[in-house]
Amino acid sequence: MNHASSTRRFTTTLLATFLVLGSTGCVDTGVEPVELPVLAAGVSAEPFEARDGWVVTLERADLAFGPLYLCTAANAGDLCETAQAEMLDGVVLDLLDPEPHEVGRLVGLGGVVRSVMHDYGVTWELTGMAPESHVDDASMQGRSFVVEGVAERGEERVRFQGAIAVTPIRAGSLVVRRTLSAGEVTDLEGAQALTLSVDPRAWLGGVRFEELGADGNIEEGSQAWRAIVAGMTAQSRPGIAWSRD
Amino acid sequence: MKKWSILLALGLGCGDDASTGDVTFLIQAEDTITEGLAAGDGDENITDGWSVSFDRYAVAIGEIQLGFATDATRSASADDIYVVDLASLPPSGLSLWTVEGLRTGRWEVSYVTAHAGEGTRHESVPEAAFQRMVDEECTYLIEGTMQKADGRSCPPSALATPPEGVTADEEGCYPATSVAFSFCVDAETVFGPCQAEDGPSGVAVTEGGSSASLTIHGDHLFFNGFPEGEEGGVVRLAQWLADADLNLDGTVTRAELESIEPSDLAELDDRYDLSSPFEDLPLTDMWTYVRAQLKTQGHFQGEGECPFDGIEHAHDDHDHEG
Repeated sequence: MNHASSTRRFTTTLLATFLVLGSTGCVDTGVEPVELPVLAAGVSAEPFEARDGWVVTLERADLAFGPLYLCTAANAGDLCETAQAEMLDGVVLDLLDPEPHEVGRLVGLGGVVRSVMHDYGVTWELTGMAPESHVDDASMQGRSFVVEGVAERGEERVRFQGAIAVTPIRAGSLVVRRTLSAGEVTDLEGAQALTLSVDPRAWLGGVRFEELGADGNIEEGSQAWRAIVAGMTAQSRPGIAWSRD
Repeated sequence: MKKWSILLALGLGCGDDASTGDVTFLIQAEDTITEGLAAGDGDENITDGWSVSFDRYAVAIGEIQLGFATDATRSASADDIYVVDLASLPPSGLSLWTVEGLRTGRWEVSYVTAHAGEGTRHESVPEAAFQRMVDEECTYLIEGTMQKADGRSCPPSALATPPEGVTADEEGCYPATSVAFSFCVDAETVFGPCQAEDGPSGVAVTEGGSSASLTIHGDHLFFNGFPEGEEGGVVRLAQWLADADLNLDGTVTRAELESIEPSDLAELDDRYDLSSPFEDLPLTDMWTYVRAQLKTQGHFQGEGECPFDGIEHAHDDHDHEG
């Protein structure tokens, strides 16, 4: 399911619910609208070990995130016909800040959610001709992940930097679509906050720093680029935790 | 074929004099398994010039669960798991399960792909192949060959171990017109509730009897992503598998796939969408990629969809005929 159609379907559902509530006063529809804060937390900037003995220190790790959809279906993507809740705004997260901060609002309807899908700030609407940035922040350069740091191995030292775009491969798809783990499944009714945990260290962990050029640029299509994209989409996706009453 | 009686749960009261019927389940192979995948530009072709044929496509499948659509207290099952070679199936499929005496109406359907050790060998699977699946705790045993007249294998230079005296071309590639594979894969998965393509969920049981097919697709190994539902936007590519032949002996093995991270393969570029639905199966190597793709192959009535929850099914103490 594309985010545009998701938004449309969800909005229709939500609107219908509000109309029912408004016109019937105290009638219990059994489905309550919910709105709760979305918080995000990164990690501390301590050095960590990556592939082949490299020790990496991150100096910048900014992530464009959103939109985000939560679904009742066990599988997201095409099998999620209606989003149960969503955060439509694209936001920028400082992944080197381990403290949770509110970054947006999740709006939806009460009910159990079992899967999630989201983009990393670059979306491709179903009716769009090409992917576009969803984040209004020039420092992100229209990309998903801006990273800078130093990798060291013995006497070797590589200063690296990159601005990686994680782009849907077709119109209407989102770059992360996954089933929620047992501990992440929840009923939105009674949920107080959603906290996203994002660890950029895992994304850098698969980079072969010895293959970077002298300028340390993470070039599109390079092994480092592929490693980071694979980390973001298939190996270490943002975790989800709920605060409840 | 073994017949199973329904196991009605609580709630049979109501003075049931409702009509009943039987339902037969078939196992059906997508024609990509029986006929292979051709190179070309068609919707179901492999678009990078490789063609693929399968000598064996054995799967352990069964444990069908039924739930009455309008009464959650009514359930039934056909618990047998069979290990069947899909490559040898007739186009019409193979009838393996029947559930008798179901109340007429619509029933939801789920099933599992399991470890072969939980199942009964079908005659289509040789004893030695079955034993390998049992010993290695496999769900699938897939053996086949990829061919391309001007094919090349381009293993990651950091991982390649070519035979002495064999050198790569300027692009790091070696001639490879044929690449074989033999994968015994653990891909336990629960599929369901299933829905026919553009149709209602489950199966309608009538007094005259009904049938439905559990369909296994054969081409997900070559998908450029993990589409949930519609496969229309998928592209089929096989070069990555040729590039996984690290020692260039003409056969790709599990050990080779386990040693390759997705980022090692230049082929896995921006044409690929690696977002796997399985949170408990991070794609840290290409063997895991194979496992994850196979965990999406269960379908229903041909192209119908069955959500895959990605969890291993419960190991009940079923009695199976040996």
